[in-house]
Amino acid sequence: MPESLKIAIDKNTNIANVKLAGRLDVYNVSRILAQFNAQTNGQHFKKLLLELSEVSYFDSAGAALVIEIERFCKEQKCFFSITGMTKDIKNFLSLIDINSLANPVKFITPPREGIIIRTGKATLKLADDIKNIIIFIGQVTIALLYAVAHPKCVRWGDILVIFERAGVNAVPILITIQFLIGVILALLGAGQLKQFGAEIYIANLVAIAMVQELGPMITAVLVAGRSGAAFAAEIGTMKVSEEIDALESMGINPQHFLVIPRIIAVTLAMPCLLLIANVAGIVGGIVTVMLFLNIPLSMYITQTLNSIDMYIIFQGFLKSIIFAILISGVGCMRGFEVKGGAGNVGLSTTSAVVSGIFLIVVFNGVFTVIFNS
Amino acid sequence: MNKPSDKFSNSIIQVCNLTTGYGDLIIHKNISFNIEKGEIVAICGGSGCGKSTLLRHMIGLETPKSGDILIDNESIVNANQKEKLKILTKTGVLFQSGALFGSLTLAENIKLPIKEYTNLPSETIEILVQLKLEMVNLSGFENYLPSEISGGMKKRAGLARAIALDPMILFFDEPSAGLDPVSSADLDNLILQINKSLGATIVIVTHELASIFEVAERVIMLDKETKSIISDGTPEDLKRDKTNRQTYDFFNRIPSIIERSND
Repeated sequence: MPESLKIAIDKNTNIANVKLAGRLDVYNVSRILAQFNAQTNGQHFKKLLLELSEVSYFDSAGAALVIEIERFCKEQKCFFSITGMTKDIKNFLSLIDINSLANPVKFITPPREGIIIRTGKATLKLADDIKNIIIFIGQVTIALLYAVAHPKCVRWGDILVIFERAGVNAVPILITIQFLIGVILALLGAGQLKQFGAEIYIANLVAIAMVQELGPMITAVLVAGRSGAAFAAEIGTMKVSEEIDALESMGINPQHFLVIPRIIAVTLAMPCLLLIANVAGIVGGIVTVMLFLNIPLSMYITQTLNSIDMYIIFQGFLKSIIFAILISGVGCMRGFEVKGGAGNVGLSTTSAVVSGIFLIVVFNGVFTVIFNS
Repeated sequence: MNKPSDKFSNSIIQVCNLTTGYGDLIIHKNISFNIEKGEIVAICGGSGCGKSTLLRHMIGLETPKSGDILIDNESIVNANQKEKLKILTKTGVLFQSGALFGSLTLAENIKLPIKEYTNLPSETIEILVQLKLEMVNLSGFENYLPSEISGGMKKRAGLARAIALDPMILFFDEPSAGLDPVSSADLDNLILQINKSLGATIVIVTHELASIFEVAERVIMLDKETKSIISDGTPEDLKRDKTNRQTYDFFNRIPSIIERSND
């Protein structure tokens, strides 16, 4: 049976008989409703009787149509009643209280907070973040001092595993990046220094840039991206799956158990990585010079060795150790901050990398000022 | 601070005038109860009534707004770090997910608390681990990682870790959640066995009626609206007691949404 709407109005009694037929589904209801609105526009009834006996299919869309008609009646204060409900319609309508739905509910989308409130909240969050970082640094320092005083309590087995993951496994990508940076630096330097016939100073440029600045920085950024993120995700997931609660309920300090091995492992791995990074960068410079410039290898190497002294090497290694503590510490801290579900683990991981890189750049600036003043 | 009366001094857990919450939200308001040694008590109530929150306070993971919780006559609320560790050795917890450490094998998971608190030689620790796994019917799974075993086995392994130090009190957070009826019944049996063989006091947070009737000797029912305890008694009594509508509906699975008739 095709869907249809028939409205018969008794002029004497002012009673409207509305008869619906056929399928009342999402595809037909809007057309029927438009017909109903057009035919009843401007009319006032005393009574409206809705006849549903010829409806062959009825779902939520049909119910919505019935509610629309009921609301129309309520507005006009006319009596509304449904007749001829089939068993299916009765079953469907038994799930809802059709009378309570006759009153429209106002749907409100919560307004977006104003810029002042958002700025205030962000400032409070930042202050809270700084407070948490200070608390965390304090807790980690205490835990590290405890580890120094009680080396037997340190989980050395875990340290080896983390050292392998954070250090050894990072070597191939680190060599590739540093080698290419060495190549880029040498080529850039060659272009400029050639104009003054000072190509030999490419050796100084590459060596000092690598050992003092780029080596520690690029290594730290790489470790922040690999291990800082991994620590945040790992500890965050442990928090979500109640493993941190389990540790606390067993009276085991999560800082001793999870943070200390990670900080020690990364602090041990970082100088090793820096050494490899420096060598890879300098080799990149050597290969470029060999391929594109006419400088003897022995001369280049002598120039490289002369350009770097123990002070520059010390600066690089000191930075790398501080960066290691910052990256691993902030990675673990972001993991501990996870509350709720998996979505927050993702946010914490992102935050670990961003905070890690931010701290690296800030501290690198501080070191540059200290070492050059 | 309310001190427990002498009448209850034999109680192993005493919750005195406890008010808990987060920020401005109050979850429990001034609740008090005692649990006697060797009792199996179920803490139940509808979703969101604060069952798990109460458990987290009892194991010292959260600090209440006011009131006190005494475990074996020692306050876990006011304990310093050292005292808290001492109290925690008397308790074991099985978390909802099992909370096994994913990077450690089952044996290593169970070894962890034993190593942390004892100076036993490694051979003895290994025997203990075997023993605990045998108690939960997981012999032969010593070297499996948590990711390699089923949900029911994870819970049993979590239980083996919880009883590693033979605690006086065992807390269970929704032990039946996510388990098939057979695994759930297995776990119920284990709870009864552990109560019988170790004499442990058992506190279970659950809303699984089958488990409550199977294991619990006493039920403490919490209510979300009043933020307090609305019933305390044996599961059978609470099921029959028609005077308390909420408890009666809960134990007889009476839906709050009554079928509508559209005549």
